[in-house]
Amino acid sequence: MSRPGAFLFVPLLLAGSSGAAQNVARLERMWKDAARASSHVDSITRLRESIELDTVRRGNLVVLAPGDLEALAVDVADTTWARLEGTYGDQVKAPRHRPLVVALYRSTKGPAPYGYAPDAVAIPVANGSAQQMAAAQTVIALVNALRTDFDGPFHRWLGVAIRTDTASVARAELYEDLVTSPSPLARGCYVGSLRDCAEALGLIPTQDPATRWYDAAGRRELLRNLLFVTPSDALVKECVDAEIDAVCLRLLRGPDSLRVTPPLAPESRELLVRIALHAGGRRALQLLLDNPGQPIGRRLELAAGIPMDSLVRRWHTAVLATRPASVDLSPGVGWVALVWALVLGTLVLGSSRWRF
Amino acid sequence: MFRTMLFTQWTWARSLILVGTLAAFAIPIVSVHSGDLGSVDSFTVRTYLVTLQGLGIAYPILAGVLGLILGVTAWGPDHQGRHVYALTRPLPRWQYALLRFTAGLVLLALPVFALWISALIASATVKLPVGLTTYPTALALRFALAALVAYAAFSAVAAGTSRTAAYVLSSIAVVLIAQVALSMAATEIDIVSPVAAAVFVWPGPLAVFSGRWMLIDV
Repeated sequence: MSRPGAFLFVPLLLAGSSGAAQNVARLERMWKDAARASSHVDSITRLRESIELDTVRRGNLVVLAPGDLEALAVDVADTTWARLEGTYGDQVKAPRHRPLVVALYRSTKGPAPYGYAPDAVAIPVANGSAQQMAAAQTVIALVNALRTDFDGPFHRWLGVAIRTDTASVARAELYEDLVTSPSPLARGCYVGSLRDCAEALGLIPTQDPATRWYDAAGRRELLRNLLFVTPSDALVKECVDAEIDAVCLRLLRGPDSLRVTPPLAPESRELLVRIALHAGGRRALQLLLDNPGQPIGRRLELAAGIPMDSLVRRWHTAVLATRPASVDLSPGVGWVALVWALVLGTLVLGSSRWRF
Repeated sequence: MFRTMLFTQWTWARSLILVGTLAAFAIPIVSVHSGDLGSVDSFTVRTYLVTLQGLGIAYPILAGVLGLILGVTAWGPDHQGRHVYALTRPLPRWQYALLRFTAGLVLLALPVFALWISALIASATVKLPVGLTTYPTALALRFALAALVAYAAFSAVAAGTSRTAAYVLSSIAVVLIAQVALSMAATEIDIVSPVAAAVFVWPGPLAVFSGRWMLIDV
């Protein structure tokens, strides 16, 4: 693209200053022509490479891949679509959705090649990469893309993408989060108060979250951990270090206050949504998103088709079930260890001195 | 006879046992390091639990190492002396083996006891937030059982013939070499995981080694 410009630069010097202006104008035209030509070449390259791509369609999902990744693309499309449909139901096929475009490419060939639609989710595939890994990457990327379709209040409340695991799959960290949360509501929830659970999950609207969700110690901790708070700020210091609760409240209240988040981790809310979606069936997410004006708790009730208490109870059971096994020995493990020690000890007694 | 055997085994292994006992005493206290968890935030508590879980791997490793040390030092000198000492004793073989095995168990009690005392001290000195519990006795009990199983396993190998030890080591090597060969052949066949599961998952012989080894836990 710059070569014609270089060739023209020599005559420009020879022409002298009188013809310089004309030459500059001519050079500018030529530069623009060259840029257009380059752009055209690029578009032809894109077209050529896109023609070489294989396309695999499953429902509303389109997977683009070069020929050597076609088998992988089929596997990824099957797995990903089944998982998305299993959790997101009919919503993922809704007309308002654009097709979900996934572009697989060999990561050894650098960045994603030309030819993919601008909104395609590019998934790099390493040599020898297993189908499970590529499918997992694709699912994670797509659920994050689908998150942008959620309305503002639901998006802000949820905080993370909805995973495609079944409703019974919950991370052990949720139990740890529940028992170590600074909020008194979490402690009430832990011992079985479903109302406290609902409040700790942010399902019940409250006029003053700063005082309803946290006590004084919890407010200090909240401010200490807020990422967008500068610890050196005088007011934050007064709240956190000097433990002046009025200052904490001032920071957490008012129109210019820092946003107070529900006490439990976003993953807890994500589990609740997943439980609601699996309880409500294929139309659950549609129902949830079709009522943006309602409180979150009511929307989840509509989606799940069961009362909020039942929904929260299921969530509570799922979280308590993730309690990690402590160092305490179960009788089974203890007895088996003793039996094995006895068996191995008997082998010792049966050893002979005569064989070397 | 038992006292003599205990004394000789102590003489053979005392340096290593003392080091093991010191390590058993140090691990709980070092791992708990922070004295006041009651006033820290929940984020710190969760980070602390993750750190504690990472350090917890030291317990089963120490139990295994102690079992190895005591198992090998109890029988090594007999092998080196071509079993002459054992043959001169007016005892049937099984009684001699029982005395050796029991003497090793007595010596094993030292690090176990040290760990229990240390865990009790560490638990008493740490302030915990609501939701966390200390498990000093459960930890010591698990450690004792793990060390016992390791000691019995290594004793069974060490008390046997060189051929027995060769068979055991060869079996492990065969599994590992086969796995490497399968991996190099670009197959996805995994033979190590099922073997490891059979050994480390209940009711496998080393199931007591698995799980979370945490003095402080939810």
